[in-house]
Order: sequence, then structure tokens, then C-alpha cells
Amino acid sequence: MEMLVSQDWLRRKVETDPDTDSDAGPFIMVLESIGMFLPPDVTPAETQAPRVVEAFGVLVRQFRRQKQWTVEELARRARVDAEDLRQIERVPQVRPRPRIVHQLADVMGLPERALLKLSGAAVTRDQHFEEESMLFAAKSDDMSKLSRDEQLALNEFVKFLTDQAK
Amino acid sequence: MSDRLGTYLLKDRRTGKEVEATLWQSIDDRHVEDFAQKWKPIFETRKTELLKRGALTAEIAGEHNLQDSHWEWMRKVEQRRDGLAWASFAVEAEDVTQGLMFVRMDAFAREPSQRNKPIVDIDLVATAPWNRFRLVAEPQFKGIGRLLLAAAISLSVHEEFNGRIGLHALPQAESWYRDVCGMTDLGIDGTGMRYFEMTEAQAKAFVS
Repeated sequence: MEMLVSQDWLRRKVETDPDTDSDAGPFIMVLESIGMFLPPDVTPAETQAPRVVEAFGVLVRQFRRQKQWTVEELARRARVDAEDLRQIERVPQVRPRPRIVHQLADVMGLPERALLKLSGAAVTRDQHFEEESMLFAAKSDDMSKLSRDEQLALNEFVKFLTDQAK
Repeated sequence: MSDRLGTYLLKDRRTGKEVEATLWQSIDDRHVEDFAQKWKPIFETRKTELLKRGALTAEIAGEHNLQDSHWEWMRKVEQRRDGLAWASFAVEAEDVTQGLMFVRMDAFAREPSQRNKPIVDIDLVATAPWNRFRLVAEPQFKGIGRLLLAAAISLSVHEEFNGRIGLHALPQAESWYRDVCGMTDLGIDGTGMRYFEMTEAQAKAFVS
């Protein structure tokens, strides 16, 4: 078999390629699903404080309302199932799969690691993180349009999550 | 017996320098040995950490066959080494296996424009633990995934499949295959993973 690419081809491409993972295949997914590739400071959750998980649903809902998107619109943009999104927004006990969290992190422009902690896909022992999450969830009201206070709370919480990645 | 397909340059992110790597067709005993002696202990350490923290129970580990000390790779290599429908590749640098790939050649395309045409289906692409973003703070080599994908396309052309390939990507690799490699996203299938396919035109663009 002859390779169709040269040494120079790889050198050029490597210079411009983004730094990202390229793993593929169902076997490697088994390792992924047990948390083998999660960052060292987070591990898959057996249990998670319910209010922290609730904050994830609130965050997704607030983000969607801020954008004035329907559930279907957010689902389309994140390439996830709309029913999964409804469950995330409405049922605090739901712990979304890491893939969904990854897709939502992409669309929301938020660090995946922070969202994994918030979603219950990974457990955190960071008390400050839990307190901030619960505070945010408590400030939420389910009006159709975000109030000014909710908007401020959302902005502050998004900044907090973003700072987590620094 | 492995065939040497070529010498390429990977980028060492830690030093910023280029490091010579060899691409081999057919995974050999030494690659399996590297997996057992160098990759697996890192995975095992991580697994122990997860068990210690209660994040991974013996029951879950059992469900996923993780109690097997040789993991799946060893078994797959043994099973597939002589299989005509299978091919395997390895990337070596600094005398250590840096990446491994298994492909099968008895699969058929799903993408509408090439439906039912034969493809090279990538069953597994894995990089060494020290090259992974989620296992180490500063992964070492860059370029392994791209080189292995080019090998799969080259095999597809060699088999007269015109560069058509398919694979199931991990969530964190989806944007790589879709946005960088230009593969068609065919959605999540029965495996629970997102399936991607590369057409002849996409393969030509990738290797150009």
C-alpha cells in the first residue's frame, strides 16, 4: 500500500490543525463512558448535590430564554435530542450524558469542564462551586422573558463558570 | 510482520520541536508490548483512582470488561491479526508506540451519495495516554490522528474504494472529524456514537 501524503503535507497540516482529540471507535467509548478521559480534577458522579444539578437545568433554560430560542431551536443548534433538553430543563434529577454536555458547552460558549461539574456528569468537591451554583438556581424565576435581575444573575454565573476554566 | 509505510514528523508540544515518527502497516508484537507495558499502567492508575473515589464501582468495571487485566486491545490484536477483512496500523516515535488503528474492509457506506459502496471502516483509533488532552495537562505529540486518518484513506484508495472511509467519533473528537477533516456527520446511530463518513471528494480534499 502506498501512502497518499508526504512528510511535508503532515508538517504543513500540523501547523494549522487545532489542538484536539481524534479518538474514535466503540471500544474507546467504553473508556470514555467510565470517565477515563475526564480531566483529573473531576470524576464521574455517583451522587451529586441536587441543587447543583438543578442549576444546570436552570442555566440551560436561562441561556435559551436569553437567546429567545425554543427548545427545538437549541436542540437543533447543539445537535441533541429536544426531548433530552426538555428533561434537562425540567427534571433536576436528570444527569445528562457527557456527549450532550459537550454539545451544549459548544453552543453556549462555556468551558466543558465547568459544565460537566454542574451537570452531574462529573462530581465536584468544590464547595465554592456548589454555593455559586445553588445561589444562581435560587435566583431563577420561570417567566417567559428574563428579568433584569435574572439577566444579571445569568451574566455573573456565566462569568463564574468561565473563570473556572482559567 | 509490519510494513514500513513511511517516515513523518510529529510535533512535540512540550519542546516545540519536530520528532521523526514511523508509520507501520500491521500492528506487531512490539506495539502490543508497548500497549501492555506503557499505555495500560497509565489507564490502570486512572482506573484505580476512579475506584478509590467511588466513581467507578467493581460492578460497572465488570459490565465493561475492565477487570480483564489485558483489556480489549490484546484480545482484538490476537483475534484480528490474521483476519483478511482487518488491517491495522501503528505510529512509533522515540522508540515507543504513539498511536494505533484498526480498520475493517467489509463495511458499506451509509451516506446517500455513496450508499452501499464499500468503505474502509475505522473500528478504533487511539493515541497513547500521554498524547491525550484529558489524561495529561500537556499532551506530547500532535499529528498522530491526522496521519492515521491519511493511512485509512490511502488504504481505501489501494482497495479501490476511492478514499471512502467511515468511523464513530468520541464526543470530544466530533468537531475534529466534521469541521477539520470535512467528513459528513450522519448522526448518532445504534452505538450511541456519532457516525461520520468521508466521500471520495472529501478524501481528495483531505489529502491535498
